[in-house]
Amino acid sequence: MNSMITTVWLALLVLLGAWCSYRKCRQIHPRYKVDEDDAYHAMTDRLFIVLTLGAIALFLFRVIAIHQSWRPLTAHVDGLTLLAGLLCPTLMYLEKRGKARGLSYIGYPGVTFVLLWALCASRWSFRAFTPGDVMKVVHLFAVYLGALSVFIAAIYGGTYLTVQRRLKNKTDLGQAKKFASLETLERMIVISSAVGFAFISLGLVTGLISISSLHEQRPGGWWYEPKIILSFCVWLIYALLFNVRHTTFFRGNRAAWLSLLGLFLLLMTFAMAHTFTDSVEHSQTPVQSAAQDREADG
Amino acid sequence: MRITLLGANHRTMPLAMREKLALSHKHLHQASLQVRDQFPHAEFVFISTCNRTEMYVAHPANLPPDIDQMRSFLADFCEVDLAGLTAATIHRENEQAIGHLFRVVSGLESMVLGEPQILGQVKRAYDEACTFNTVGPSLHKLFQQALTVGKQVRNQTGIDEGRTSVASTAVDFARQIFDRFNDKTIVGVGAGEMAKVTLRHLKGLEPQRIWLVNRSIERAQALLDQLEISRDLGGVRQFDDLPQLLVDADIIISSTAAPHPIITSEFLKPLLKKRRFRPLFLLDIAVPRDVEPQVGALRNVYLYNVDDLQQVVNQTHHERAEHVAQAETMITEKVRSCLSQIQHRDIGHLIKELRSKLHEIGEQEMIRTSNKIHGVEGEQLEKIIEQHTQRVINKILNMPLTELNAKRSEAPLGFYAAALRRLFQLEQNDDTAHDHPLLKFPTSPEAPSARDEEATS
Repeated sequence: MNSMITTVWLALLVLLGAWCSYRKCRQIHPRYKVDEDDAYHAMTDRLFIVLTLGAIALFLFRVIAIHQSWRPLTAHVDGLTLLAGLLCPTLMYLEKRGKARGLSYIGYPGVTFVLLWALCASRWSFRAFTPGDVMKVVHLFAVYLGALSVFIAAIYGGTYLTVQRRLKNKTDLGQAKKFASLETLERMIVISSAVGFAFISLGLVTGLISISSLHEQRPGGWWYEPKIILSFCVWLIYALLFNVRHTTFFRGNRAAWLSLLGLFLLLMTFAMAHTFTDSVEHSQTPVQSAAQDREADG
Repeated sequence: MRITLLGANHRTMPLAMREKLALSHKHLHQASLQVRDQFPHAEFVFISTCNRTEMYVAHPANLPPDIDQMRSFLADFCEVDLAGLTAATIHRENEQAIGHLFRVVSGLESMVLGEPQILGQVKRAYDEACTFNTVGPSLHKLFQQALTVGKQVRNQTGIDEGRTSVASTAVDFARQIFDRFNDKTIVGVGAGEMAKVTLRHLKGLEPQRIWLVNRSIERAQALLDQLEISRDLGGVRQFDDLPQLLVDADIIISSTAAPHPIITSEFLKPLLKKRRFRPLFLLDIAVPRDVEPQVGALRNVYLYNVDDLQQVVNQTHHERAEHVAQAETMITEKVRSCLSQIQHRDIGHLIKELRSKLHEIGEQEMIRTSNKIHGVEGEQLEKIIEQHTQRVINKILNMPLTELNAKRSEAPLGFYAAALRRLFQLEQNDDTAHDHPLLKFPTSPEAPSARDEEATS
């Protein structure tokens, strides 16, 4: 029953996110003349606030009504709901800051993507985390907060590339002022990456400690698992982005591409960990664990 | 009150004549004093900008100034030929005058459609008129409404959006690339007129340094002096310093008269590493171009030429033109509302005066009658009261009927007849059933005379 509520709730949020994204994207499309319509802007903003409250409410519902545990993240869907619930207010805050304007054009579809993924994780690829100690909880929070920073860095990166493309190709130049300056966007990529780097480092260390304590349960080396290799790659990319001001070769659009690559690798890592592979940490098969967890979900 | 506009603008009058009509603050003061003395019953506001000189007057319909007096005043004050002025000025009354003012403050009458400066200029003109005490209730209402309409039109339509000059567009692009400018270096290559205009705009961004490179050092220095760029802020550099300046610069404006490109891809590419791949905004406003087009393809280099900037300016003009119809609709509604408010205020004032006048008559007659009724009773008293009533009625009707008999009013007598019939709810005879309603003039010449007879009988 609870599982069904989560799925329906997420489906509604996905639809709302898609509607917000559509309305937002119309504002920068030259064919549509909704730019000067204040009521249109206000309605889009209100819809996004509803989406934000919906995502936060869903996370709290799962923590309070379903899990009733001191460990709020018991499945990937919880992590993704937390990610969406944090991404929405962060985007709203950054958008309200004058110098970071224009993020929502890419941010809203980004939020919709996270919610869609959460919907899949709740219905078709549900997998619960193995219960763990405090270290495991810290690891999970660090990973999802790191993912939040990575998402934001990627949104900045995507915005950077959009603005740069317009400026380089000299298309839609009149609309360019709707976005933040390239210098601001690059600086925000670096700041987001720095925060992401800190969380990913924490997540990596706590994750390694957790895994190394389990490695005796599984024959063979644990360190060459795709998930761990990919995690290291993500960490390296963000280490590079964090220092992009000193490694000038990666300045400008290369930093933006790196932020997108970092997000892609992080998504692949999540996919490895939660969907496709049977890792040390998730020793059960997806089908077995899904059945058990749905049972636990009621 | 009648609102009258007499004005000249860039569409109606050549620049040489507009220069003569342009009124400085001092001239405005003098004109206001003169006009106040000459026409004490009228309200005046003068608007004088580089593109227009307009005189808004509110005056009672039967009192001066009329349009000829206004023209004569302006011609005398500005010392221009009256015939030339008459031919090149526009004259609007009431609804049209209000509409014109609303269009002016909204930027629809401006040379650059939707330009924002006119709103401030009209506000300044109104404030000055208030200071000179030439504004009364009608023009207060009109100008306050006009300023509100100007803001509303700008807020609710996109008439003032976008940039309309090449230089301001360049500043917009610079802002799109850079966040702050207090750590940026601007380099101007060449010291032409376009460079001057663009540098003036870019200087407003308060950059860290402004360098000017030119073959003629004296000319470059003269330009820096004109732009009031101090030695602390920048200076003139030799043409040989250009490679180093290309490394240091964040924004480059090139406007030389060189027949071939002076900044090529091959020349700039090796310098990018020295620049640590910082973004470079290159503005090539020279014709023929100073910067090779391939330079724009280099990493973190943003190259724009005059055509690119002009394209944005054209786009702005096009987009603004699309908002004109929306602005016009808004203005039409506001004009009606404003005129109605001014007329209602006039009617209110008129009623107050009428009441006062009638009270005066009543009091005079009351004093006269009260002297007579002292100690009188019965039939004698009734007779005195009847006489009193008759005298009051006669006195009230005396003035309007005398005016009607004199036949010297500006409007046809039929107009007054219709008004009297409507105001006093007099019954309409069959032979005058075709009379026009109030405020409409009769169409047949016989009708007024018939009504005149009736009204004056």
